[in-house]
Amino acid sequence: MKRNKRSSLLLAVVALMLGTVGLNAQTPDFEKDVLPILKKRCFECHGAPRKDKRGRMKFAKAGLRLDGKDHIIAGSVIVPRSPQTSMLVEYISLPAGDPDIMPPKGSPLTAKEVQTIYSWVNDGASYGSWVGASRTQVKNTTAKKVSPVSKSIQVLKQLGANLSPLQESTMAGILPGLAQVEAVYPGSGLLRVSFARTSKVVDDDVLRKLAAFAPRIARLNLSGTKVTDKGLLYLTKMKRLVHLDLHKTGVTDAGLAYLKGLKELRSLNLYGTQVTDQGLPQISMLKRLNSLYLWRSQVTAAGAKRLRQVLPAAKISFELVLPDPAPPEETPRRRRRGKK
Amino acid sequence: MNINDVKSESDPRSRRDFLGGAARGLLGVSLLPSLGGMGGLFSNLEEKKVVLGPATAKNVIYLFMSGGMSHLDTFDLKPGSPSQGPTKSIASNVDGILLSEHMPSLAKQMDKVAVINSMFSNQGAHVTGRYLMHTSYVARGTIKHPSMGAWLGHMAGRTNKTLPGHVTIGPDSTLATNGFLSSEYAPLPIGDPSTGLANGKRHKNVDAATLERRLTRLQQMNEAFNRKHRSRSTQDYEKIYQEAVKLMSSKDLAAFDISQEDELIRNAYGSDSFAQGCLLARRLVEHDVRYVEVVMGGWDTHNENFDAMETQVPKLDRALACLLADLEIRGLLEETLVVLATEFGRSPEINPDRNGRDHHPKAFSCLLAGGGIKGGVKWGQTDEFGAQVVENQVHVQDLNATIAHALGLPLDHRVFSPSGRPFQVADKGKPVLQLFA
Repeated sequence: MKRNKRSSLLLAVVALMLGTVGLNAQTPDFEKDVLPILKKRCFECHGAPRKDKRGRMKFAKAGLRLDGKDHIIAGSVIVPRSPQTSMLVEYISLPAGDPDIMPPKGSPLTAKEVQTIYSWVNDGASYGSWVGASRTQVKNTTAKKVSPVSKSIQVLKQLGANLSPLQESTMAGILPGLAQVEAVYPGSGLLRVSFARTSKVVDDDVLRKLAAFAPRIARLNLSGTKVTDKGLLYLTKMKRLVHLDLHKTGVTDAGLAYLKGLKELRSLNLYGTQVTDQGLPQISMLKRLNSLYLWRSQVTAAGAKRLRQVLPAAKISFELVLPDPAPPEETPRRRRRGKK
Repeated sequence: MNINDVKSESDPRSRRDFLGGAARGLLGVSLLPSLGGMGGLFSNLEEKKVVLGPATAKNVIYLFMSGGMSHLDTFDLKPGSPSQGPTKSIASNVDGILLSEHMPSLAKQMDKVAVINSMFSNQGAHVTGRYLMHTSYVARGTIKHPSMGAWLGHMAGRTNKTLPGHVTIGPDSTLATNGFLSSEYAPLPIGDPSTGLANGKRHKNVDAATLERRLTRLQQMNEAFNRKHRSRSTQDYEKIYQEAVKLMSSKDLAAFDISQEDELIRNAYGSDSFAQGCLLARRLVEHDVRYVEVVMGGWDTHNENFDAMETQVPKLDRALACLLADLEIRGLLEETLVVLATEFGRSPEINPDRNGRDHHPKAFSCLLAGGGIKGGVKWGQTDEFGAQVVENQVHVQDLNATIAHALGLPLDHRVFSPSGRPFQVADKGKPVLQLFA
């Protein structure tokens, strides 16, 4: 409602002015007539970012800049040929003392100044050749088309290309209550098999029962299970195994011998196992390995270093580097302002 | 539809609502349904079967810096710019990524992290900003949108069936919500990570047989009522009991107990609530809880911004550095997406009277790490003052679309609210595919 009141008031003011100045006034030129008014009365608050006396940044008030054509257009304060609906005209035409009048400080614009801006807008708000400060456009990296499928998924796609997906019911029927079995991604014939939830009752015999599906298994989680070196024999059939988690199992160097034929293996987790430096030569046969976890195993720093030289592309997580223990919490104390 | 249903559901601020809120806060078991919906009224709008995409992440740890984290004093340093103030910058282990001087530990791990410097929000107030960040939608009076953890539960389900799929840790458990989705996707709130799950055990005077008998009797008593008043609300109530009992008998309850953790590791994280929350989050993810949010308050630095940074940023640095290292060494970072988010940034203008920074949604920073995200990446850019995005703007919805994409959630899958309106997991956001390895 306030706006309506303003609009009618504005019309009244403008009508008055039109009466005094006359309708025959020439179309104002932006650079000659309008810009000087903006410069004098508006730029202080609606100009480029600047430093104040204390060296701090001041940005244009309300995010509105009037010192460039693109800035004025982006601010949507002017509707060409429609001064009645242009916010800029509305605010400079408010009666003196109105809390919203622009400029807020000093005397209001003179009737002639308001009339100049009004006519400029009314005649189409042409900027002539003036551009003023340029507005930074958001640049977007458009270079090459990005694949919607990440590399790790592409690996699985290629490996599973010749396998038809299994029925949900078939997957649910694989060692029910013991294994969590699902497709590595929906629609893939490769399987992700996890015993993490039932780890305490899972032993080598369970792996034997999995043999029928061995060629389909791409991700196998045996962490915390009772699987031993002997059980890893069943893994030799898992030619598409990409990810193997054996952390916190009883696996030792002897078991690693069964892994060396797993050419597709990318990630091997041996944290918390009894694997030693003696087992590393077996691991070094896994040329596609990109992640190897050896924390809290019996592998020595020297062993890990040697392996890094043989498998330069693999990320070997060996040591947990933590920040120094936190200092005990101090009682919060406010520092005085201004202290650097 | 029964007349009683209409009556109870037309008055959402009911006694039940109050009790629901109290149960969430006091009992620790959330899972009480939000009764605002008109369950079943528009049941003709059937949701299509969810077709999941390939996922690079199984789990999410979502760290929310509540109050608006200053991008200029954390991950978007502008050395030499008048908007920088007294905060100094240090180099990280990735060329071109500068961090605040208060982040020496994280500086050694930025090769695991993708920094997004070009975040953009159109909500400049805390409540609406947080809401947008969590749900991808602008808050409306008539609808309560679900947050990401609830979407994940609804579309993809849980991995560990005995633990809740969605947990929120920290002072404000209202940010994550099941919205209009079923109460089974509501987060379990943990107020204090060091006490873990409150009231999660059977009372010592009630043996298992007694509890079983009581539950059976309860079910018998409810049966007639539930048959007569078959609506989502009554079903939700049944589920609460089922979930609570399942949780009580879960053998994974140890996941909630951080006192079982190595002292060395516990101390390294730090003793403050956020750090312990991060440690708890790691334990939960280890037990296949799929979505864990940890909230850290204290970022609304209108006053004495730089003093606040001296206490806030080191806490964040320590906890996040520990979390990343800890996830990595166990092999968990491969499939766990860590997100650091906030509702907006803080102004490049340092307000003169209070030496603080005010709200600044036009440009801010968030982080992603793990779960298939490329590390050592800096995405997007702000101008010389940190005031405006000049390159590769990432809207709030785009960030959420990126998280959903990592989880394999279909971005175009439509779910209908009880009032029949269609909603998508990240509204119309587009994932930033360049961030994936």
